[in-house]
Amino acid sequence: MDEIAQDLIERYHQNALNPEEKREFQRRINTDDDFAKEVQWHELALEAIRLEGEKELRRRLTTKGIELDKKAPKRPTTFSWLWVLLMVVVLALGLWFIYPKSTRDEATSPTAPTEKAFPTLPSSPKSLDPAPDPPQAQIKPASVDGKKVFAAYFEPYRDESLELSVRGNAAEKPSPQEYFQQLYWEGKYSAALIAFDSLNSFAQQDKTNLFLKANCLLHAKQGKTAASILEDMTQKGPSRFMEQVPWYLALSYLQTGQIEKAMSVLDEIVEKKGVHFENATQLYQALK
Amino acid sequence: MASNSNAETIINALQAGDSHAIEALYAHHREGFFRWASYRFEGNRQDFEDAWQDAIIAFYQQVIQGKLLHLRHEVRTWLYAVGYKRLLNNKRKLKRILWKDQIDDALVVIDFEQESVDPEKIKFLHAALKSMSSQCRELLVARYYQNLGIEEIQQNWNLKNSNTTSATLSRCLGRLKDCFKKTFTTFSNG
Repeated sequence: MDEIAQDLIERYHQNALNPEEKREFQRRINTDDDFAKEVQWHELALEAIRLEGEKELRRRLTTKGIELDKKAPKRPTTFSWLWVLLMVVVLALGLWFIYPKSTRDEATSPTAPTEKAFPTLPSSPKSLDPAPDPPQAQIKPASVDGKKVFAAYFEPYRDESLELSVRGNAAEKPSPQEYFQQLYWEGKYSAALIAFDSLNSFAQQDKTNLFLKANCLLHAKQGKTAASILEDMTQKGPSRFMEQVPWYLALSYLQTGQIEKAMSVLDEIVEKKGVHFENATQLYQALK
Repeated sequence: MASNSNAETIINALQAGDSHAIEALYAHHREGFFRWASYRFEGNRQDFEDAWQDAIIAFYQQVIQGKLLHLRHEVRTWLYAVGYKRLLNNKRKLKRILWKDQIDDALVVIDFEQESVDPEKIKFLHAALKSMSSQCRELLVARYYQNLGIEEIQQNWNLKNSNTTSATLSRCLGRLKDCFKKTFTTFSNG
């Protein structure tokens, strides 16, 4: 094919032909088979290039999306309300302790004996927060209800990589591991815990599965078992959830009322400026 | 319309080969689209991400191909409407909508439909491109997908001059066509 024809074809696809050239183009298509075929090859080439360009652009957008997600971790819209609620609770409890007990008493009983005018700290947090079974001896006698704070902050871990691709293989039965992860992704945490038990021992040692199990346990208010899994994970070296594990470990401690331990882990997260830096800072301050 | 001056700015930037403009556009309305889509569809974040990317890519291609020069709506509205159609086409379950907004109005006007390509054909076209050198692939994408000019390509790829650039592009395109011709000849002979 001559260069003039090539140029004509290329400019036709760039919408750059003048009316006379357009007529010439149409004439050749109708009368010259080789030219008509060349136009087809050109269109096919452009389609291939378009697909390649699209693939490349999609790759760039995906990378950008991941960057954006990292910068702004997903939060449910109710979060801000929960945070406000938490702050109110913390503030109210804080005031309860800070504000002299005697003042409260005076308010209700102005003629109370003078000894009562001196503030007396409560001898035990149980008087305010009668948690039935504090799990550890080192529970901080704090004004913060770990479970409430936990509820405000806990959100089972999610990222897109956890979602199983169902396109094209919807008819295939998922493997037990896929089934477990699918249940997790769908938010069926109790069912996922049952599915975990049916995994083979190799899959039960898999760090992803263990991490997800710990999240299911936290959701099921079994913070103690979750903490033991997460503690184990921190000792077994790096995994893809390296930055997530300490955060969920802190939440496990919080759920079981181990405030000191939770604060210590949060402190580490804040120091390392990890992905949960902001939440950890807020939570640490709230517990302080 | 103020929104359309914004649209024109984006369209002009894309036509001028500013590839960052499309990433900025993608990032700017992404979370908003996810939120909006989640009110309307049963779907997860990945579904919405796919739909959003499709909408962005469609917008980019329409602009680059000169098919979208002016918008009657905001860019955001156009993108949401295309993303919406994509979610509908993928049979995402629609939630009960209790309200209507400008996207619903725009849907009536925006008649853009994404073309679907036969997967076998896609495979074949990918294979043909894969058989070429990576530089050829990049140059062809830059010229015929991103619509970059010869001078820009010459500078970006450190090519000797514009003649060399044109010749290289022509050679790469020729090779790609030859690859198709060869395959089709083999098919028709076999």
